[in-house]
Order: sequence, then structure tokens, then C-alpha cells
Amino acid sequence: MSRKLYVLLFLVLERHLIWALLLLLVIIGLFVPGFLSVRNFVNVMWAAAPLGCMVLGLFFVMLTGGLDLSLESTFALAPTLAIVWVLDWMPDQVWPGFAVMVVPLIGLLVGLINGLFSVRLGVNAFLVTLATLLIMRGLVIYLIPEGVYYMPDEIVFLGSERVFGVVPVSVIVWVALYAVAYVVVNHHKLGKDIFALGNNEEAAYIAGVNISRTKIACFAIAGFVAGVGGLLEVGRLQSAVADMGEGDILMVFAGTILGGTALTGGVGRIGGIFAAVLVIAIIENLMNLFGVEPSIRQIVFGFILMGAIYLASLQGKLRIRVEEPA
Amino acid sequence: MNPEVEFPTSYALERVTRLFPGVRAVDTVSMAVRSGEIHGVIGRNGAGKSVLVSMIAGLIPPTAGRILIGDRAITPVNASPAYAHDLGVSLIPQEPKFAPNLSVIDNVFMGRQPTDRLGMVQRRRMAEAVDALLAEFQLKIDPRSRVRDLSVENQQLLAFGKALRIERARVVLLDEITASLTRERRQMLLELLKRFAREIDGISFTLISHRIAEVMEFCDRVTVMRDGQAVATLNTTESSAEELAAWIVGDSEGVTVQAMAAEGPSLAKRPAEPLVKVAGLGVEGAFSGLDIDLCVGEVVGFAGLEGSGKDAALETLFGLQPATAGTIAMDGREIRLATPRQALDCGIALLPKHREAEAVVQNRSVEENTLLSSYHRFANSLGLIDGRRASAAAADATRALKVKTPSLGTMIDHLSGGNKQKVMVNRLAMTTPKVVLLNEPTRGVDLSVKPDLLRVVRTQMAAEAAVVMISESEDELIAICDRIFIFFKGRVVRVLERGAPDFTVGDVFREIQGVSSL
Repeated sequence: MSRKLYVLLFLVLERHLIWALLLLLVIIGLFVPGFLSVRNFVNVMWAAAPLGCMVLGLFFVMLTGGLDLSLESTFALAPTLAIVWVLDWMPDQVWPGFAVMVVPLIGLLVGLINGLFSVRLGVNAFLVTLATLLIMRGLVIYLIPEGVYYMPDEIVFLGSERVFGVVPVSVIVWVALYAVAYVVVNHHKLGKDIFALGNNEEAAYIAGVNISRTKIACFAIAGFVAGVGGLLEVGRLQSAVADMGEGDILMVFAGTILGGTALTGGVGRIGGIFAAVLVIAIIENLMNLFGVEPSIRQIVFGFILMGAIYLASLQGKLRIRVEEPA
Repeated sequence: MNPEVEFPTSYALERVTRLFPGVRAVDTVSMAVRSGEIHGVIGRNGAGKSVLVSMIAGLIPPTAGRILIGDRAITPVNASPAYAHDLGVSLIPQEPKFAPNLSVIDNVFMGRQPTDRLGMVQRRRMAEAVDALLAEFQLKIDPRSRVRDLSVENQQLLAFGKALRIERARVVLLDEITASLTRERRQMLLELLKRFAREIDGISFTLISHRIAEVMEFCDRVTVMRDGQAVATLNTTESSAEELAAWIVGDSEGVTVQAMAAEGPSLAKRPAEPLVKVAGLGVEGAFSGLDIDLCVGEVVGFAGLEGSGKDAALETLFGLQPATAGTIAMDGREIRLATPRQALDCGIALLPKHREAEAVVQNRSVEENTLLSSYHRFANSLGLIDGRRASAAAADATRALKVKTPSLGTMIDHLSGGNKQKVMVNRLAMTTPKVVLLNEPTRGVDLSVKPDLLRVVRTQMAAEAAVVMISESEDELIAICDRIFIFFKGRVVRVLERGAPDFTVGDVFREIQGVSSL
């Protein structure tokens, strides 16, 4: 292969591996009846939105070199608390729309607690968020053991309505969140601080970055967007159940890492995780359309993930091969 | 060939040379170390000591010449760590390479555990041998404890014991082993060395150091390295610290970076009120009683050996270490520094010593690295950055310092050491500091870039700020400083001023070493 072509291929794979994967899946999809329709496309996006929110949250935390296992419980607890508050604790006294606004704030609070514990007390974030994962899930099960199936329109609005009868509000919220996050990461002081400390904490500290405040802010953002995600999920399903989001954290990690975010911190792009969330959603959609049995879906997904990780590992090697002769 | 035939030789270097791109790190060195001798190798930083020792240990192959050990030789062709090891060479590095999570016993016997006929490890034999070793070296440590829990000095002594008793090395190279030892430990080590030198047949110890006091205390003979050459070999009993210092410094009076001070602002008219007034500053266990006035337009040097308190003093001025005594006042008002952010907000900026670990943000662009400390200047009240203005400022700075980079968006990892350092200097300059603290600004920088950097310090930084600079090179200090504070054992023992007759490389070197008190 000529060197020029090689470099071009490298650039595509290095920066846009996940987009290449996405394209591949779409091409496969073209041969699957039912894939190429507005309805199917809308459904894919709709189903992807809640996951997308959690992935965005983990993205922020992972950029600082941390992790947050509790996102899937925040995802459930934040809307649950708001719903129980509006329906049970103070029925007919609070405007349900107000509860909608409170949900992300509950998430933010949870994130702050995670952040304060892991950063100020210097406890490993894995352990802290493992604990809050269990505590919050327990709270949800305690509060709504049977689930809640009738909810005011205001609460389900974000997750269930469509604009012009086509585009789900939920998708707009998701894309808007990513747009704001893009600005924060690339054009805001916070983003610069996050990348600096994610790549070299000592250097960032000496350069005047407030390390703990930045890290805690990332946990808070993660809780906030997980709360929004929970709200979208509740609206989409028009119900809140006790095991909502349970086990999803693994898929959240898969999406974040597949999107090119480094586990060690400091490396990641919004575009990458956006595409990764779509990839996951399309894989699930294709499996649906193929009629893959639910019992073997996990196996298929695992293999796809392994292949993607192998491809991602090639990026590093590719980079070395391209740079060396220069 | 060998002029000292009357002594049995432990090892000998014959016209050994090592070239690195652009440098003769070791230049046709010949020397012979006798059996039963404690031999010192001394020289300033960059004199070629470590390269020389690395060649004896087989870590770096020589470019020319050979190293004779017994009836065999290390040559440019066959050099390897394993071969040197086979010849009985053992290097005790400053930071011994042990497996930190394994026990003392397992580390001592790593790869050479005694086994019985079934291949089972004989733990009792190992334990007995280690107990004997620890007793001999007066190490009060549990042989089952993990090596990571040992202090560095204990690790060094353990490595020494292992080399001697387990590996039965005959050519033992000790790299700055005494630097971190307490006085009693040093005494003990000295006695051990003397005893081993006497008792073990054919052994020799080679002590690498840049401290005159230690070499005088420990060694029978000492070889002085200067600019890659072995300029002299002296008997310590017939020599003095003064003579040794003279050989080490030579008569090379800073030819490379001479007279740069004339180019910068002159401090003929010293303002009545200094910008910064430091009084009685100290950090327990590091340094004490630092008094210093700083004015815009001057460059002050901090000089001293490692552990003399110069680094701690600089870091305290930046809030990296909390002061336990004394005050810092700026413009007449006392300031408290608990974090780097506070220092930066007061107009104090630091260029840290370890560039990759403490300054460079890897995986990010030149632009971001340049602006990291000053993004708030380009941000609006919401924290959003005016990208165009920020980029323009970074571009100006990059051009002004002639940073060699394809573009501002290039990852900093692709730049050379000197250019990375220029970016770090720009990061510091972008904060428009009133006080600039530089810890070895030319460390790990190509020779050709060093004068450029020093000129920037002297002409640009000093024009707008008070500069404090640490350098391991006395030449650099003499070239650009107005005053040089000599740190020795945690105190400023002297201040040398430009223009005075003792403002020379040799005097700085002697004062750092504490030669006058030896």
C-alpha cells in the first residue's frame, strides 16, 4: 500500500474509527428490510436517548480519570423521588411540571455527594460509587416496589411527546445536551481544566487548576445528565419501575470506551461517544429486525464489542507505524 | 601499558569513548582501579560520570575503547548488562530496582532461589541467608516485609548487600549511595566498605558522587571527570578539598553563556522598597531563616546541592509547600500562599523542575499548553473562552519565542525537549507575572537552545518581573544572575554579588560544596 493511502486510512481510523463502524452498520442495515424507514430511524434514536445521557455523564467523569458506577441508580432514583413527591407525599399541592425541573437537580446532588466523598476524602471512586449504586437502588425499590404506571402528562412529556408528530422531544433533549457538552468541553474553561488534569494532574495543579473543584464538578454534571436520562426513560415507557436502568451501567461503560474515551483520563471526544451510542442502538435495532432471540443477544453483542475493542487497539499500533518513518 | 603494575588491577578502562549526537559524553578515558580500593569518580553535572559508570555496567556500549575486567574485556561489540554481570560487575543505582510488592527475601533471591532436588524452593535456607545479610548491614527490618515499605536508604543498603553477598560481585559501582544516608549510617557504610575491601579478595568499590566531602571521607583515590575527560586521579590523603574543587571546576569560566547579564535591564538604581520581602521563611526539615528582597529587573540565583533546601525554598515561594515559619510580603502587604492558584493570583509563577511530570499536559495541543494558566483572561463571565483572541495571543507568544512547531494545534508530545520548555516558558509568561520562579529552566534542553532560553530570562522576563532561578550549572548562574544565594544544609550560607571578585564559577562551586568548612 502506498504511504499516502496508508496515512489517509490511518487518519480515518485514528479519528473516526467509530464513525466508520457506524457507517458499516448502516450499510449492513440497508440490506435488512424495515431498517431504512423514518419510523425505524426515529425509534432507534428514541431508544438511544436515555443511554446517551448516561454515557455523557460517564464521559465527563472518565475524562478526569475517575469512574461512576452509580449512574444507573441515579438514573432511576432522580425521577422516582420526584414522582413519589408529586403523587404521594404532597398530592395536588405541587405542579407536576415543577417535579420535572427537580429531577436533574436531584441527580446533581447525588453527583455532588459522589464527588465530595471520592475527592475530598480521597476514597477510590469505584468504592464510593459502588456504595451509592446499592444505596440508591435500594431506595428506589423501597419507594416504588410495584412501580408507578399512571403519571401526569407533565412528567412524561419530555420522554413521550413528538414535535410535529415526528421528532421525539427526547431526541431533541439528547442532542441539545450533547451540543451544550461540546461547547463546555471545547470552548469553556472547565473543559480546558478537565483535559489538563486528566492528562497530567500534577502539572495542572501547578498551572493553577483547581483539581478537586473540577473533579467534583464532573461528578455533579454526570449526576445531572443521568437524572435527565432517567426522566426521558420514564416518559418513553410511560411508567417508572423499580429495576429501571439496572445493569445498564455496563452498556454505559461500553459506549463511553467504544467512543474513544480513555479509561486513564484526558482523552475523549463528544462526537466519538455520540457515534458510539448510535452504534449500540443500531446493533440492538438490527438484532430486533433480524429477530435474534433475546437469550443470545448478549452473546452477539459481546462479540461485536470485542471486535470493536480490537479495532480500537489497532489505532495505537497504527499511529506508531505511521509516525516512525517520518 | 599499565603504569601501576605493582598493584593488582580490579578493572581498567582503555581509551574509552562514548559519543552521543553532538556530544562527546566520555572522551578517551583511561583509568585503572586497584583491587581492594575504594575509588571515587567525581565531577559536575554533565561531566560524564553516569555515562562512564553505565558503560562499566554494560548498560551503554562504548563507542570506542575497552574495559578490562580480569582477563576479559567489555568492548563496543560485546557490551551487555548480562555480560558485565557475568564479569562480576554490579551497579547499585540511586533508586534500586526491586519488585515493590514482594518481600525482602523474595527480592534478594529473585531468579536465583535455592531449590532442592524436586525443584521446591528452600525457604529456610533463604531466610537464614537474608537474616545474616541484614545483621551484617545492621538493617533492622523484617525480612518478610514488602520492599515498598522500606526507606530508600534501606533499599540501597539491601541492594548493596545483595550485590556483595548473594551475587558475589567483584566490581561494585555505587551511584550517589551516600546522598540520602544519615550520619551514623554513613559511618557504618564507610566501615563496611573498608572491611570488605580488606577481606574480600580482588574486590573494588567505585563511588560516583558530586559531593567533595563524601569523596574525601570515603575514598582512597579519586578520578576527576570534566567535560567527558578524566583530568586527574588524586590520592585523597595527599590532596585537599580545595585542590579537588580546582580540578573539578578547571579554568573554564563559562565560555558558553558568558556576559549575558550586560544585555538585560540594569539594577543600578535599586528601588528603595523591594517588590517582595521574605523574612525568616522556613519549612521544617527542609530549610530555615530565609531572608530575601526581590526587585523587578533582577535575576537571583539559588545554588546548592540536592537536599540543601533550594528546591523547597522555591516551592514555598509558590505555595507548593506550606511555610512553617516566616513571612512573605508583596508590595508591603503580607501574603499567604497555600496553593499554586493563590500564588498565580498574586502574580507569582513557577517553572517546575520536572517538565514531563509537572508541567507538560500530554495529548493536548501546543495552544492549550501555552494558555493553560491564563484561560481565565480570555473567558467571559460564563467561563466561555474567546477562542480567536486566545489563539491569537498563543500565536504571538509562540512566534516570539521561535517555538518550532508545525502549528498551534499540534500535540505537544511531538515537540523536542527544548521546544516543549519554550511552551512552558510561554505558559508562565502568559500570566504576566511579577515574580518568576524558575527551577532549572535549561534541564533536558538541547545545547543550542540553552543560550536562547537564558537570554529570554535575562532580557525579557527580568524586564518585567523579579526572577529567581535554580540551576545545577554554575556557569548559567554566573552568566545571568545579579546575586546568587548559596544554600548549604538548609540555610543560606553566603550571598555572592555580581561585580565582587568572588563572583566566579569556582567560588560558587566551592561554596555549594561547603569546601571552606571542610
